[in-house]
This record gives sequence, structure tokens and C-alpha cells, in this order.
Amino acid sequence: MADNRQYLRVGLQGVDYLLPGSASFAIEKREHLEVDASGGIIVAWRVASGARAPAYSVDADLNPLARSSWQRAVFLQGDAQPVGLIADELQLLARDDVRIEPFRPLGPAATRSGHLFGGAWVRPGHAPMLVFEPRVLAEYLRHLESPA
Amino acid sequence: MSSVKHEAVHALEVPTDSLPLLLPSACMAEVVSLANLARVPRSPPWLLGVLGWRLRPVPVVSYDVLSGNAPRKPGPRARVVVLYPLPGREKWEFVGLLSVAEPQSRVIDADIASVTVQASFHYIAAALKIGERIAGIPDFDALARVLYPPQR
Repeated sequence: MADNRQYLRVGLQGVDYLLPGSASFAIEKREHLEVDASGGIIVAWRVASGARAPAYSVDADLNPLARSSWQRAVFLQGDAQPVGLIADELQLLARDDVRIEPFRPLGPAATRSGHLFGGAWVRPGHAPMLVFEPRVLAEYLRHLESPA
Repeated sequence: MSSVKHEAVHALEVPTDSLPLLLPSACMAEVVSLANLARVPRSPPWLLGVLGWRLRPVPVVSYDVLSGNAPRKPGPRARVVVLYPLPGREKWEFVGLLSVAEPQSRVIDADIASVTVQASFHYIAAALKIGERIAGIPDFDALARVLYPPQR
């Protein structure tokens, strides 16, 4: 379980994002998950206490991505229905090492709950690293399950 | 008998691939190079990405794409004009505007003629003829409505 003073760096196809520790997330290894080989957008399930939580695979632009070689997923546990995200890289960062500035994407929000990002970490010489709004990300991932 | 004194206004002419824009210098914070933009997934095509400026994240907008033109890869001369937050926005909500080349300072005085521009140029409040060129003055209220639409 994450400390809410931490951030989790989530690498997706070479692009890094951050999840705030306040999101209440858990990192699960592949061997602790039930792999879904049906070829759909859900690539694995976490089964705990009789409840199943889906894990989705997306690319750097958050589009569904089919892949079989992955090792870990991060599960957002803030809601009654946890949801997972397959990540290429996961790294916990201490809050003191990260300086988050407020950021609001322009244009219409990606979901009915709002924008996917609510902050960014800007370091000299690097592209800003966007910070997910965990609740919105969870809704976005769940919406991937619905047919367009 | 009364007289009206017209004071000159300092402005910045921002080249685009369509209509050059004329921005009051007072609304501009800085002109910087275009580098290391972070993509923003699920965003409109006119939002080119996020620039790190003075350790702040600044979204960068293409006026050309906003006006309905196809996106083009910015060239090596491209710059970003960092604008102060639009009226009513938070103090951290700076906005970057893509300039396809180095913007040029202009002094706008009473001798510069106002002209009309095609309706296809969106988000333009007025246009001026500067030499042989026509430059549009952005309609900031209209821009604010598209950049910050009400939440669903």
C-alpha cells in the first residue's frame, strides 16, 4: 500500500506519468494475477476475497493496447470497484523529491468526471510529467470496457 | 473644441501558417523556444502539448489547428509565446501560443488601418493592415470559451 506522501512513476510505452500516493494504489506482480487470454482490453484480473478487479493495458496515449509481455500492474483502490493499469515501469518517488505544480488540460474534459490530469512535475531539460487524477483515470479505464 | 489623443500601443506580431496574430505586449510574459513538450492524451489536436516554463507546466496551443487547419510539425524556427492567464483564470494558468517563427515587435498607432478578414479566420476580434500584411487581433473571450469550456 502506498504512503500518501509518495508518488508512483508509471511508465507507459516510454512516457512517464505520476500517480499521487493519496490515490491508494497497490502494485501487483503478474504471477499474482489471473491472466486473461481472451484478447480483449482486459489483460488480467486480480482476485481477492471473491472479488475480481480488471487490469487494462493502454499505450502512452491511453489507447487500448494488446500485449502479452508485461510484469506488473498498479491497482487504484479508492473506489468500491478497484481497477488496474498494466505498466512498463513503476517507481515510488518520495514527495520531497517531486515538486508538483497545478495544471489543467485545455479543451473538453476526457470523462464526465473531469480531466485526466491535475498537476505536472516540471524539471529543467525534461518534458513535464503529468499527474493523473486517480478517480478520473479509474473512470476512464472502466469506460474502455464499454463498447463505443 | 475637443480632441482625441490616440496613444500608440506596443504589440507583438506572431507569425502563424494562416493569419499572423497581433497581441498586446502587455499580455505576453515571454517568448521561448519550443522544446520538450509533454503530450496530453485525449486532448484536442490544437493542444500541442505541455511546455516546462520557469518550472511551471504551460499548455501550448496552435492557432492554425484551432482555426481548422491540419496539424503541421513545427519547424526549427518555431517559438512559443507565453501569455499571462486570461481574465478570470487562475494565476497559474499561463497559455503558450505557437509561433512558426520569431515574433516581431510592432507599434500600433492611429495610422494603421482596420480591415475585415474572412469569416474562416476564427477567434479574431479585429484585423489591422500592417504594411502589406493583415494581422488578426485575437478575440480572447472566444478563445477562453474554447480553451476552458464548462465541464459536462
